[in-house]
Amino acid sequence: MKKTSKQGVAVSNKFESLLKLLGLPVCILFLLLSAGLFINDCGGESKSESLSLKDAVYGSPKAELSMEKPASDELFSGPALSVAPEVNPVPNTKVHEVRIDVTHSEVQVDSIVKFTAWAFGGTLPGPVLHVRQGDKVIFTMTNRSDQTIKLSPPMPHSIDFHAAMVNPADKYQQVIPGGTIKFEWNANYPGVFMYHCGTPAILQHMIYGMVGMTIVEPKEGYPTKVDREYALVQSELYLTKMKDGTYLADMEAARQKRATYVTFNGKPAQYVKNPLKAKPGERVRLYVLNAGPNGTSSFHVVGTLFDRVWMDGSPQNEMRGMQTVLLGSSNGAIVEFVVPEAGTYTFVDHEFADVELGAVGQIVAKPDEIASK
Amino acid sequence: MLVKKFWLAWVAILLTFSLVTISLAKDKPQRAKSIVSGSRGAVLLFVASLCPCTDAHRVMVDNLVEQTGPKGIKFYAVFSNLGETEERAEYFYRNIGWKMPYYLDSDGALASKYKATRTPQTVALSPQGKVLFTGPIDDANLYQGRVEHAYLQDALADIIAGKPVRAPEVPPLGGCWIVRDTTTVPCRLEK
Repeated sequence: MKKTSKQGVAVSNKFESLLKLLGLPVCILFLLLSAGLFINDCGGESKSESLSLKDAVYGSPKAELSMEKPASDELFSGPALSVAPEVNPVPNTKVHEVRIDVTHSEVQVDSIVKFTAWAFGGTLPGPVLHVRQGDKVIFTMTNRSDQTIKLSPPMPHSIDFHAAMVNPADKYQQVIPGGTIKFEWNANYPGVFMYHCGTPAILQHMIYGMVGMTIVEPKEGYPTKVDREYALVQSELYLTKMKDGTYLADMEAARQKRATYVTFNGKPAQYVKNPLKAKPGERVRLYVLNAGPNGTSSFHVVGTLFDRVWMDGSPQNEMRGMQTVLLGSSNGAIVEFVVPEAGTYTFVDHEFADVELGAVGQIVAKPDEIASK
Repeated sequence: MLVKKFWLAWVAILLTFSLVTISLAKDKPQRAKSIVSGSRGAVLLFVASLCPCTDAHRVMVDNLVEQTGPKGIKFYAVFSNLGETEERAEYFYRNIGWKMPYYLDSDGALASKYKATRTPQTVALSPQGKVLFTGPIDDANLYQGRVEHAYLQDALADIIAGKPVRAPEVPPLGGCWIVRDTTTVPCRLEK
């Protein structure tokens, strides 16, 4: 044993000498490797990021302002646009010509409440814009507030696309009543993004309805296939009743964050009265945007779990097995789930005060439901 | 004894009712029937109940009212758009939190007299009614809330100091249109 021990000590001494000899270079090599890995993970571009962003385009021509009148009465146009909850497939083109005009119009919120909204494309929320990463959007907007002077005074409006990377002072500048702005931007990042009016007081423009959703599909498409998809924009309405029975948006209530309604797609509880449809066993994708302007959303579907959640709509921000998705104001997400069996699946903002104010809807799953397009 | 208690109770009820009425009236914005200048002058702020462009100047105006009021400047909000009512004015005041009196310019006389075409737009008058300044409150709407030119504040400083106003006429910077006629609306490109 002693001998063995002496031999062991001798081996150990040789190993220590070797280590001393090699120690410094090995340590330096190890440190360099670790630093390389760290930089690659935390600060540099990962392989997938560099693949997806290699065609990113920064910069675009200056926005054009004119008094050009729209050629038709249509308040929005372009195959990339749809009215939520519908989501049109991305048109098979790399360049999307899109028009969304601003108008003031009376909107029926429920069977009793009607208010004068300021609306993108005449809809509340504005139309859903669906493009693919790497595509170019050529956007035109006419401020038609000069055509509805009996409803509210003609006023400047603008648009701020969260999906775009542009100079805000140029592309998001105010457009006078009757004026038209035209500019282009490139969809560099995949995601579910907000757009809204950026003219002061922004809060006032937003509570009058000037919000909408842009979906930028990843260049390679999503990693999953779904049977059905819907767009849901959550937003708050702050209203005050006037003596003549009409309603106006209430800035003071908005500042105090006392919502009158919290809605999916502009109307409280509309999908309880007219539920969304699905078939048992189908895989459903929801594009969810919390347009706010003030509240958070704890989005949840009763009776199922989200097996994929992509925060802000990018598959690189993946979470699995989620019961609820927390969305701050202007956050988006894609949630996917399987409808396990026939039944009624209620979706809510799980902050239940918001359910009481209308943030509730249903998906009814029936075996005989017609398959989605 | 019972009669005395009865009368005392009545007096207490009446007193409470009067105090509540007075305090409610105090919170309610006061409608002015005419424009009365302060010792150094008056400021007319042309606004509209549904125009979102005034909100960015909420604090600036509040501060100016507080600072220049004791120095003899009196402020009025003027509603010149068609369809403005006391109820609409009160709605606007509830949202913006101002306390100054307002004037319902129902026939648009003030708007046409002072050539006001936008909201918000301001006119500063001398005690004799002479126009000393006309223009925007400031340029906060152009720079997402950052003020580079405090036009009205500078004009009032000059007026209070008894000096000529350094920029007596500044063109409107955007804003909502004052609509007096629903059949014709001005339409031109402006920067």
